[in-house]
Amino acid sequence: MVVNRRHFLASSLGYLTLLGWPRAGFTDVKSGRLVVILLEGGMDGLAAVPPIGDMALFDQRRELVPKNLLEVDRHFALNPALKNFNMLLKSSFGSIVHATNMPYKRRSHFEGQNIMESGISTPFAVKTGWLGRALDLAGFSGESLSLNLPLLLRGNKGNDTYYPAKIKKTDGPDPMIARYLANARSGMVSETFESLYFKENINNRRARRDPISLAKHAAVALRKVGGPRAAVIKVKRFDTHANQGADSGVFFSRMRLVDNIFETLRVKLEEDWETTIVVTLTEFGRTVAVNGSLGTDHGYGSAGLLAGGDGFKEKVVTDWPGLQKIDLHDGRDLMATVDYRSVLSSCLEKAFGLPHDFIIEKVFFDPKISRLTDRIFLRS
Amino acid sequence: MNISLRVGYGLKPNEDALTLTRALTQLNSSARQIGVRSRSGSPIEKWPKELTYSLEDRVKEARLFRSSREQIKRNQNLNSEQKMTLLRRLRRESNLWHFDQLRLAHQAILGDDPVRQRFMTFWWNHFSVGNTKGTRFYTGDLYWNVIGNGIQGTFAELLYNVTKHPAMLTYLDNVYSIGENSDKGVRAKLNPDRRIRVGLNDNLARELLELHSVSTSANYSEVDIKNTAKILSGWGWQFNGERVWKRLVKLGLTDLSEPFIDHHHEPGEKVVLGKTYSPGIFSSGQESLKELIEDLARNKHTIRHLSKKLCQHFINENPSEKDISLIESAWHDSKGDLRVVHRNVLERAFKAINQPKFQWPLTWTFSILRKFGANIFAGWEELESDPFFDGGGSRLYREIGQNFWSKRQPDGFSLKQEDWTSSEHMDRRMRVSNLVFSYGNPGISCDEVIGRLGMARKTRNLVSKGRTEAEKFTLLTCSPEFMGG
Repeated sequence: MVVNRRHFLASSLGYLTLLGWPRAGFTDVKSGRLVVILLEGGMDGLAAVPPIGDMALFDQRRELVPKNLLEVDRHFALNPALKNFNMLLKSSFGSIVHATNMPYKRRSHFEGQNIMESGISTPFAVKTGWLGRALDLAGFSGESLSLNLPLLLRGNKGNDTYYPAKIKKTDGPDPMIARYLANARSGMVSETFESLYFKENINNRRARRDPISLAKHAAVALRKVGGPRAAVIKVKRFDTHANQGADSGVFFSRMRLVDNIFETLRVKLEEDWETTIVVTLTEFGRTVAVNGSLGTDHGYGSAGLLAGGDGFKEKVVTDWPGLQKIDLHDGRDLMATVDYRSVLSSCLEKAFGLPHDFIIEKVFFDPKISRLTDRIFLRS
Repeated sequence: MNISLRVGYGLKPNEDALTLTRALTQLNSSARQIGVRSRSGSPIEKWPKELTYSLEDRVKEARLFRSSREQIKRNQNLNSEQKMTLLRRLRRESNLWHFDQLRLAHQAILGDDPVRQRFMTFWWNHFSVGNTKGTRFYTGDLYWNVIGNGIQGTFAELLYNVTKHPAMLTYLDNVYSIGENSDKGVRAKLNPDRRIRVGLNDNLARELLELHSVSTSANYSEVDIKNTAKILSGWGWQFNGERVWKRLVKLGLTDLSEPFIDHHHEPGEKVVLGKTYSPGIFSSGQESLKELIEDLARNKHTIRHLSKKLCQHFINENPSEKDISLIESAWHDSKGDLRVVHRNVLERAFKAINQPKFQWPLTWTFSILRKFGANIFAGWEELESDPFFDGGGSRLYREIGQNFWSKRQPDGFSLKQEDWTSSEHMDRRMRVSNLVFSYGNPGISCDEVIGRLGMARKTRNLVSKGRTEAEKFTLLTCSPEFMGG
């Protein structure tokens, strides 16, 4: 093996092992990890977890209800794409929160995405994300498996991105040059160039960057002593306005990808799976009724999928609002009866050991968010 | 930061310094198509005729591509491996947009109208069309024809021409939107057993209001969106669908400049933002779209939204209220004449030289190549054997996170530096710089570029830390002054 200058510098300083160590904070080193799967475009919760016990479902969107459903209980079933997640549900290492959303009702992707990442109910109000702020308080770092650093992770120092380059005939950055470029600047850009000084050089021919390979990389990174304690993986194209499909098609294939990410993380995190919480996040759900092009338009309530940790209390956590016209938000969308920030703060509490009151005040800036930890997790 | 970096792609090795007069001349020039035959070849003034496609040609190519793909997939005499090989070949040969991708690069690096190009990419990004259902075949037409000509006219005309363009109608699903009370809708209701699907699709309506014109600050309602969708119903069809096309040819309905099918259009009055749009008794309702768009274009929320966005792109990421209102009043006074609006943006940009202005990775890449007289892009004759990017530069665009032909969201590429600041993005900057130095044959040295652009002392000091010309090259091109932050 050729030891390049970067490896030499990194190991001789021992900095890599120091980088992710907790700063002064509430938590001890033994506490867990959090993986967020971002579902971009507005994930249709009624297609992922169809409420088969509600007959209005079939009246409103018969074409979009898969035939080969995986039964969860009398009221709910899973999309056939979620095979592995179904196993997790059965062994109580998975759970669904249904009829939930961030507090946002205006149906714009871009406002909705900003709110789901910032965790603040006014769009574009802050420049940091709820996960970034939580990591900052816990004294951990996070990693995004993407070219850019999403808003979700901003607000914390030491965060990194991983998305290996595939440009032929180029070497990775020279660490010394990166440091000169860092010194010529200040602030975030400077810190980012400085991080290249320590970054592991990836052989760009071999590295893969499909979501499953990225999930594998995330698992390995999360397992490292002193490595990142949070990872963010994005799955795109949930904006299914047309030809959404049921037993196959766009939604099915997107959901299967999500299912495989859960499974990859479970396998690759090994014993650390028990201390890792995996949670999905989307900007909004979609209309209950099918539209003119066999798709669905922007809506409100959706569903969240959770897995990992040391067990969940229930398969489905919900205060089901019903699908009769009168029960719907604006007469068209699934109502959200659970504030998804409650779910996220429970995940943060469980993963990082931060107290609930502290999270809602310092991470979500809203002291009214209720605590759902006891309702979701077996041991809280 | 040198003005030629802020509003253009920098100066070619023998190009005169950019003055306001020259910038304005560039802005108002008609496009000259510039390209190279081969990577080492000298510039030519025209692209070969067979590579400049009309909209009709593009739509035909998209249809051909789709039907060939279906034929291969359905062919039962082929095994899956043979299918894969054939599909791969089809994808390589149906490469119309690869030429578009090259053309974008060539024009930026070698063209004599970089200022004009920069304003065109601003609008192309504003009216983002991601790749889906054949749109990569059409988006080049949106750029060179609709926007290229549109920036010489009013915003209302531009907005109208973009909205009814096959690329936009397809990308935001309007091609599926059929009014429930249209002729087709009524037929569907009368024949329920035939299971004809009709209904509105509000995707384009929503983004027309939110992204393209008034923005959420106008506080429109879901009813406004729905009524906008009704006005838009009937516009467009599945342009890459062979069967649809054959049916339309029979009906004589294949005019791509006004792609409207009146028996798909929702009849009756529609109220949007308090104004009633009512087609006359003998009218198909086709003209309501133009009427609506003219109102949206002169709405004060639209003017505010776009004045701010122009300032963010060319002047400062967080523009001052004074700058925004300056552009706003030019917009009001000229009734949305983009030539006047753009002239005001340019005048303001020339006065803001000292403000930092972050540049997109794509703008930055093109300006390195232009300034150093270098080129890493293939000539159009060597597209098949492109050593770096497998045709057209799509790989490079993808690597730096800025491929206009990719699948992406309709809000376009961010104008904010923070969205382009990550370890992987910085890694890409240093790699691209390295690639240009090693394989792009820079024609002049770092010292010459520093001198020509009159770069700051800080930048000179930074570059002097490099021990070799290669190190100097990376330090200069990735310097704050060059990158704009």
